[in-house]
Amino acid sequence: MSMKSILLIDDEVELADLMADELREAGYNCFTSYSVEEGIKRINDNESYHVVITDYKMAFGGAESIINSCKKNSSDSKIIVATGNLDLEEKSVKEVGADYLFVKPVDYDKLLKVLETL
Amino acid sequence: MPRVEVLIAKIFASFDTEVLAINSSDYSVVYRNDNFLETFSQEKSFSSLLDFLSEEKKSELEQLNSKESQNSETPLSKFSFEYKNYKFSLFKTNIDNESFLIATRTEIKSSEDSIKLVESILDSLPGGVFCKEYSTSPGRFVYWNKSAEVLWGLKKDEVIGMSDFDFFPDNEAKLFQDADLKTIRDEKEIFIEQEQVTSPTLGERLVKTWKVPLIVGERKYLLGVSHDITEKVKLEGNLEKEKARAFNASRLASITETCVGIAHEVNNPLAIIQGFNRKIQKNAEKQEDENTIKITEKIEENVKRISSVINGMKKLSRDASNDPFENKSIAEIVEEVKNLTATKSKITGVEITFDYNEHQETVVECRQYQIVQALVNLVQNAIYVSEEKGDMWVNFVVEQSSDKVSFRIVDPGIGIPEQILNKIFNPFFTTKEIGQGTGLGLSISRSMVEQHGGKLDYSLHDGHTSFIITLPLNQAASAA
Repeated sequence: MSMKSILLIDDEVELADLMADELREAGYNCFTSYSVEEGIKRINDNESYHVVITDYKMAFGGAESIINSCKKNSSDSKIIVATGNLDLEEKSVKEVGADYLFVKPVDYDKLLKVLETL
Repeated sequence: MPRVEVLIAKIFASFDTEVLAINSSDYSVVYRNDNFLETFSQEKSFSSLLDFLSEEKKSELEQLNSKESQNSETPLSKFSFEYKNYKFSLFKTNIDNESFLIATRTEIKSSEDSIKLVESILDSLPGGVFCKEYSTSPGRFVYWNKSAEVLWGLKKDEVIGMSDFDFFPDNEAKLFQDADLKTIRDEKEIFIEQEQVTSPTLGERLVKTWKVPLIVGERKYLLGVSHDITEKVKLEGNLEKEKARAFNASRLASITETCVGIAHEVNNPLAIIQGFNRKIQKNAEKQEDENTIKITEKIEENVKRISSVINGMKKLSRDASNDPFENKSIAEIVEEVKNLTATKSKITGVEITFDYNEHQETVVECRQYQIVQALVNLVQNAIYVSEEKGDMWVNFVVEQSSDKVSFRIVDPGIGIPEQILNKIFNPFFTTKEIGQGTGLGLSISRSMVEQHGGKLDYSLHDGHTSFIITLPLNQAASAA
């Protein structure tokens, strides 16, 4: 059984690494990108990820650009938005094409549960 | 003076009427009898008939006088004039080729006309005018104008001779009479800015009233003039509420904005702390370092606390008035209140006892955050009182009936003073020092509860101050 692959995009480098460590420990094949640009490049390089976890707002774009790239590459990756922004509502995140919304600091138990279902 | 003249003068003097003799060529007054002098003693000394006449009458007089032939029937006998309430008739007489006009007062105009005039003036006044006679107690109405009929919905005929107690509730009638008696006793007019009158036909009205003492001989009267201010007060009340709502909305909006801003800046570093902490924790677990594990658990707990405080502030400050009504359990509501008041309770040392276990499962159809905001508000007020009193407890009790649930928040206060009780729900009313409170808490909370068809009331509970929010369990029932 192949490991599920996750692409994690966050311009807060330390946070991205910490989250990636958590996910790897939980058994996922986790890749990190520290910018929107880098993330899009990875998606375009036809690596098909099971799940893309992305920060909502980053320098030079945000979750929306990531989601659009996924769509353009007709990837069927599930999208999880992780944000520190309290103003975001799950509904509005889903409208732009994400599947789940997590508020930072992320509750890892919940996140891992969700990942299992994807 | 020749004897005849003296005699004539005496005859005129004995008349029970006012008599004038006037020279017909220049209308100068040549004689006034005693009655005339007595009746018009206060007046200027009329030296000419023309002083009594209007321009119209003057020309009428000239006309008639010129037609007057020496001997024939006298057209002037048709001339009459009025002065004040007195009516005079004229006739002409000639003495030694000199003609004189004799004016005698023929009638005193009835004073009824002037009474009618006064009454119609009073009737056309915009204020309700009434007069009560206080030779008896209670005072009885002797006058009631048209506007009073409209204002109180009572006809003059049914009011005259009756007292306030015949129409108004006893407590109101007593207030009216007390004010009347004070006015009469002090012989000083008073102005009542706002009083409630419950009309048997129109229901509750608010009026402002001037009361004036009138003393006529032995009799004492109370003259009152009232204006209906019901609509005005209602309008001002609405305006005040609207102002409070707008003020609160903008205040909340700015708090929300601040919270969102802070949250965004704080949540990322918080997530990093959390992440590193988890690493430490996992290492400690591997090494079975119980001490470090405990520390990391504490860190984790406090990271959650910070994030829940910010989250809570945001929840508390958001405008929930457009949220949909949802079914929420008492447990969900109370847990949220607990979370949002935990920090304040911890900081102040005020212990909050939540008594709701029996009703945890009960479901209420509500906008959860409006109810939570109202409850948190009451709890915060109660904490404030506890701190002031140095008696550190607050009770939060949930009770339930078949279709209602109530939340009672009790603090160590010993009740709210009578004189401010009717103001505590007014927007902007506060007993706190300037800058300490907006004075909006209770009024906004009450309006949020009322949007649910519920009530927010004050009551004394076992000698302690308490506020109770009562909500219908479902909205259809309250709307019906």
